[in-house]
Amino acid sequence: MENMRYEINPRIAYRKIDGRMVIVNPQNDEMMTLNETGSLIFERIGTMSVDAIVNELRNLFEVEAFQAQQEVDAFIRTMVDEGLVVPCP
Amino acid sequence: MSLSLWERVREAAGCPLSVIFVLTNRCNLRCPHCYCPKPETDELSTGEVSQLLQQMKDAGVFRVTFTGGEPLLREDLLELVAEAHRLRFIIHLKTNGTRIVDGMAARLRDLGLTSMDVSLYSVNKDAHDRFVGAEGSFDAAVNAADAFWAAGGDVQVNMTIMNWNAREVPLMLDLCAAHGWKCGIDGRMTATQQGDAAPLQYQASLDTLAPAIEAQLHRGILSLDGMASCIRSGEEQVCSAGIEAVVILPDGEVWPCLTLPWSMGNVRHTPFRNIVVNSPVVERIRNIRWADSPACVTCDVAGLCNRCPAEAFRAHGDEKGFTPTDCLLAEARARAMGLPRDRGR
Repeated sequence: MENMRYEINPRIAYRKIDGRMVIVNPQNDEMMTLNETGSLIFERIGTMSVDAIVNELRNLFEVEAFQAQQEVDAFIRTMVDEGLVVPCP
Repeated sequence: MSLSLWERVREAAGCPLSVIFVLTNRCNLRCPHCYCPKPETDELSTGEVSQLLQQMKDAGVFRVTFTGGEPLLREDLLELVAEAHRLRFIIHLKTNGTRIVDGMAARLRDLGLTSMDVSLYSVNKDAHDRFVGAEGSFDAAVNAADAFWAAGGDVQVNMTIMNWNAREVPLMLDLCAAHGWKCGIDGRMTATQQGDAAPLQYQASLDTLAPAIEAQLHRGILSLDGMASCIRSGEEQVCSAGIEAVVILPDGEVWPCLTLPWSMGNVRHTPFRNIVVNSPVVERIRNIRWADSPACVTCDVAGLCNRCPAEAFRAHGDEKGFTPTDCLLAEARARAMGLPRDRGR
């Protein structure tokens, strides 16, 4: 997953409200709110590779590379499963 | 009572999360029950609408519904859909379908349109065409709905139940099911935005409304169980107009709903957020309570009632009252559910 790039599903809506990302998937009309870390990762999907997001997380939160990698991987996997994020072709 | 996630986000944003955008009052059909028959207004330009969409996004709005009149009479509709998509809105379109030809449905879907509502008033094409005053409009609407559905979009056919078409509801449900469309049925006739009560002459009666509602219940496309078991507290708010959504009219006026003519401001003079946040009009609506009408608190079908302050205001100049249509619709729901009646009124 490291060098992969993802993009946000172009059909979903999202807004940053009170510092947190709020996402709505029109397919099921479900709303999801992200925590601070999730919001940070989500905002970088589409413009940065997974590697670059991991590096930024390490620098911002001063965490080990392994931990940052696991968090980003788990987040992206959830987003992909929910149909909110898709791999770049 | 715990708030849903939508409600919590709305509270955090401090503004409605949905906007109904009436792009034009112009229409190519002549439906006699039309609530916005005023044809010409000084419509917002493409640039003004685009700027407004950006303001709505910044305020936290997620959904925009483009409607009219017939919104496809605006030559810039495709441009506006594309701009709304670029700004990450969920985009709905309410249309009569007659202008969706030659690949337009697929084009709208490609540009980001999420769902399309198409109006049909009868399953009989001649009856529909006669009512809307334009030959060929039934076929055009059906073709538009099919084309958008085939392009992967959600389609809902909206039918307003009236005294002449209420018995067709089961057939309309069949038609929608056969095509894969959702079906929205509305039994309330409203006065025009200018206050003309003429459309009320088409209001369906109890004897025709109840079976129409029963047909929806039997097919599982409508459930009233939650309403039937609801006990109205006197302090409960009656209406969420202006809170869940606001309406922007073609000239930029902002109303709390399509039928309540209380100006909240005009986007030509005031930024969207300043209009909707802490609006005195919305405060006035929030203060409408079930207890304002004592007869409603003791009514045994109050749980099945969607009392409409807009209609009460138009009828009596008092938004805190009720109209016979409120009672009619609640009674029709009760009859459709086979509930025994013991009215306290």
